[in-house]
Amino acid sequence: MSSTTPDLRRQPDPRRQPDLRLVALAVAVVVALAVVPFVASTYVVTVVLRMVVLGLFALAFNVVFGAADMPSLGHAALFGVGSYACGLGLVRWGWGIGTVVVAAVAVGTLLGILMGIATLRTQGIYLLLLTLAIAQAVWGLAFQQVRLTGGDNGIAGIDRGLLTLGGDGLVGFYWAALAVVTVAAALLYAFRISIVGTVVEAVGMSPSRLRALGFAVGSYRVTAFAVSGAFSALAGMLMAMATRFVGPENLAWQLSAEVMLFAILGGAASFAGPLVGVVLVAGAEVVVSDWTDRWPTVLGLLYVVTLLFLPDGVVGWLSQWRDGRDDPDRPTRASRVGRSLPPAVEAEP
Amino acid sequence: MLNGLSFGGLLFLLASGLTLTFGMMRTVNLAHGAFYALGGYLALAVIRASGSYLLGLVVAVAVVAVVGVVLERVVLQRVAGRELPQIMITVGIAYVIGDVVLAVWGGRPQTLPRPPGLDGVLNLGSLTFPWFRLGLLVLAVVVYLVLQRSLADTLVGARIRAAVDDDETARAVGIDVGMLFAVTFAAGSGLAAFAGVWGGAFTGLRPGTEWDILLLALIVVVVGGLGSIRGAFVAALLVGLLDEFGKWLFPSFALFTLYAPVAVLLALRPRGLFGREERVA
Amino acid sequence: MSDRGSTTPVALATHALSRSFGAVRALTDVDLVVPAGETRAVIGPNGAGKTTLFNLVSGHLPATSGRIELFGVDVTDVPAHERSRDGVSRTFQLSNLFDDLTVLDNVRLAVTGNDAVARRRFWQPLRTLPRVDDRAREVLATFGLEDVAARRVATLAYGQQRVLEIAMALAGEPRVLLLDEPTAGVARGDAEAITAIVDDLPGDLTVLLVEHDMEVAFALADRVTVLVDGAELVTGTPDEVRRDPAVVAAYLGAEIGVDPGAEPDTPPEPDTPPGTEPGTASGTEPGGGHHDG
Repeated sequence: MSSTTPDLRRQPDPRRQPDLRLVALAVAVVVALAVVPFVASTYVVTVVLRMVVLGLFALAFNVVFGAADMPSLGHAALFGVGSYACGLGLVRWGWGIGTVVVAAVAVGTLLGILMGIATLRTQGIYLLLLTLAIAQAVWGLAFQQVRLTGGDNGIAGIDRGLLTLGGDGLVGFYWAALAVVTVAAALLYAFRISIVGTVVEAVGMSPSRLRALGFAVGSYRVTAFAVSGAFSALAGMLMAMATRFVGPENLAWQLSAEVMLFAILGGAASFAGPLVGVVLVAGAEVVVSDWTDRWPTVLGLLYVVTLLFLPDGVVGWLSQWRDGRDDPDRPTRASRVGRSLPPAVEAEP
Repeated sequence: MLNGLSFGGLLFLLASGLTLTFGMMRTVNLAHGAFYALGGYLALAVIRASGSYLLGLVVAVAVVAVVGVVLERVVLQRVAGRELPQIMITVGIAYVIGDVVLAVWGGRPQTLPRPPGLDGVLNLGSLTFPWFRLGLLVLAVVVYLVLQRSLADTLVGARIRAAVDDDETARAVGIDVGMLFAVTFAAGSGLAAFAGVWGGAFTGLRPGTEWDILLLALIVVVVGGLGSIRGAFVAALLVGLLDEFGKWLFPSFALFTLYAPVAVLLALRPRGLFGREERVA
Repeated sequence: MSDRGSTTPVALATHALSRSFGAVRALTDVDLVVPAGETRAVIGPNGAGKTTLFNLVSGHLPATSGRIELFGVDVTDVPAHERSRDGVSRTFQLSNLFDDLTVLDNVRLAVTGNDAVARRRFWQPLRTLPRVDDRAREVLATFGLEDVAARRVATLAYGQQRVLEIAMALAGEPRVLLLDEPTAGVARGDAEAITAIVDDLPGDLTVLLVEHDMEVAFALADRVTVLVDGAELVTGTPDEVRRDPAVVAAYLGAEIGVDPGAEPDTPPEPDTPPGTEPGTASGTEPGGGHHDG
């Protein structure tokens, strides 16, 4: 093995050492984000704030999608119930911010558990359609319970000054949101490398093997949905505060498709890949909207191009390119996006 | 009741095309609703320009069928058998079509004229039935019978099934799989446009129609069971009635009463009502 | 090999075990009694019900009727993952390992699955649990897989994947090991190495071996059960089975009785490894996965 580029995965397994380069990169990114308000305009802060919040959503989504290999098209519901918990709690019911955070996470977790249990007997496209149906039922409730939710008009006037690190303006909230997302992302990473997180990842590779090894596969699938739901709802809550508004669009299924695009375009197989996808798509939206009204067309083409030419995402493409140089026989972890979905129902009980 | 049934008829029309492409060819086309909207708008433009309803209908169906074939040949072929890429790509296509429609026809809601000769109402004692709705129901039954006949019992149906199950072998026995899929996809897309022309007169056309229609069509196909034309027919009528009664009984829960039972059904019977015992046609 | 005196407890027993798929009866009234410590091979032609029997015993398929007992305890309705915790461990005919995890992480998961203490510490990083890690490295060392510990499983040669299968099945220290055609699709050199591994298994371990290759089965088993058309034809020592006229007539044909040392047939149906990913199906590495470095 005389490769010139050291490959961590080929070294003896690091037993207690976290990957220092990874930690350094993460710290650098957070610090860079923290200084954005000092060097950039309010408009840029708004854009970056949106990326940060959607970034958390994409990471949470990828627990179910990239790790556990369950193609959910219902995650907008998990995100949106967090938004509505925030809007209803703060504006309608006059709750404190602490109560709202707890409520958003709790309702996201519960809906996640419900989705996880409901989808136990399904996989592949049937899981996708079932999660879509559940999310649409939630959307229907928000849309039509006008007296409570304001229906199509939504709930406006959410006070983001309640969650702040310095002042009651945009910047104070930006820092607070960044802090929340950083802690949440660290927790999600800890989940990913934990025993339960590794088992969740293994669910996507071979459920029958997991059963043979003594793991109750169903409970790990539900766990994935619960964790994903909790952090999706947290992201939804932050989004409601960032935009000071919540409406049915926070639950719309197009958002579920978009978060899947984030994950695939960035690279669903890696932990941080979805963040790359968020930056690319949300960044493109800002740039494109500057010179044309036809953003939906560009977004549509982005879907097509991504799935045709970058099914493993930017991160997957980069690592393939890197590994391809030193060992053509060793395929990188192929994202399962390009694979055909498994049959409707697992053959086993 | 007739409202619900005729709405069910419309649902079947728009779901029948999806059953062909999604159910039989195993190609998921989430641009189906966009084809519906595109068909409706095209027909509207041609009818306004020429004054001929029939010409509008024919042009709409033909153009959308061609768009469908191009999509299938150029793009979807590359992800044959892989459903997730198909889903995401066709969502993208739907965005593009929806945006183009918006750019060309603007955001104002539009209504298509009714087919000539179906304007009045039928009076039966104290009950009145609009001819248009009766016509829609009859049309749905006709399309159902034609599809059922042409797919279940004929060589064409057998060939599609053979090609979907094993395209290598199908090629080996002389079936032109590419042509067969192109024709099937053209038929599915054309049916979407056909439904759009009728539906444009029933529920109107507006931005976002492409998504609303897609979700309804998906519900019907999935509840009926993938690939089952009979299932789609029964499911369309069921969903039409469910929607009608839902609106009537629980007006503020109508969307919930539409989607929640679908979710429950899928959780308990992932293959839908007719999915297991009748895998094809 | 193992003494099967009258005091030896029965490790695995089935009573009138049956399984139907729709109208097809895959397995009919099979009574199996495997004493603790015995290596039992189950052989039979394709479609005889070997794999069905195997999946019923491991809990991956529910029985249509009949009972399964493990050391005298009825486990018929116990789900697969709990049966594993009760000491039944299995391999799969086609490798379905956790392809995108490293070899070491695969074994760590295998250790964790049957370690209640480790499972209870689910929030900890998989890599930092010493009891899991030590045991996993011990298992890798036993099977000569230390050198590939940090590699993704998908990049291993097929023969090595089959060895890893067995290593993972043994990682949880089972009482009953179910081996599903461990040498199927493996190159000859690797097959010999795998056969040697099975031969070296601890004497107190009960093994149920489904095997297509009769010579392998006869060489490894204390006793052999022949299945034909989903029913038990005969059970006996390799010699008894070899000479049994019913077996010879019904299944084995003349070649076995005449020339026991003949070249083992390659399985008639192409038991190809899952060739879904390029680079996994080479399986030509000599030495059965003992990666000499």
